[in-house]
Amino acid sequence: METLEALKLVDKIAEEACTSLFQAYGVPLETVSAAGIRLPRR
Amino acid sequence: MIGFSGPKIRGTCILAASESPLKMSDPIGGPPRAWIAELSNQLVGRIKNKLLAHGAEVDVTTPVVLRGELLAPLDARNKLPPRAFASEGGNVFVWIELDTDPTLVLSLTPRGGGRGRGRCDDVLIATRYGSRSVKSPWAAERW
Repeated sequence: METLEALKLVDKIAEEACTSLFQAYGVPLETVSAAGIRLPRR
Repeated sequence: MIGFSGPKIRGTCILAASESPLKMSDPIGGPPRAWIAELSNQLVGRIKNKLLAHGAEVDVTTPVVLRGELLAPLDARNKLPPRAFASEGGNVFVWIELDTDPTLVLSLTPRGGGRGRGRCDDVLIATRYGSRSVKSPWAAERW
């Protein structure tokens, strides 16, 4: 299996795992595009 | 940030979060560094359990925490952007870096129900008679 193919699979697993992890602690997460996020400045 | 490695596969999982989702998810209100280390440990634990069902067994390193601004993966990550999530008051990011051997075989669909296989919210217990998976009472309470 090529690295990119494996990466896509693990990436998808990580997305689901992160969503369920925060949900378990009462924080719902919504998947968004990283490109659209503006980080707050100090 | 936490590493994992196994036969023919090794990688790093980076969990980044702004202050708000970290504080809101922390049940005891401890230091943010300790909490994000714990979250990343649990995150990779879940990934590890799911990878088992795809045919890969990995060990996990201890987490490392750093504070920073404008952290971003290099383009070398095959142009896959980090997974980004929005929550009330802040954002959470996850990205995976991976090195694999070309002979690695991962099943694209998870195999379920086998001995020693667990769901991501199960606790895996190893005994002298083998391993089995039980539902975590803590997870049931949370879910």
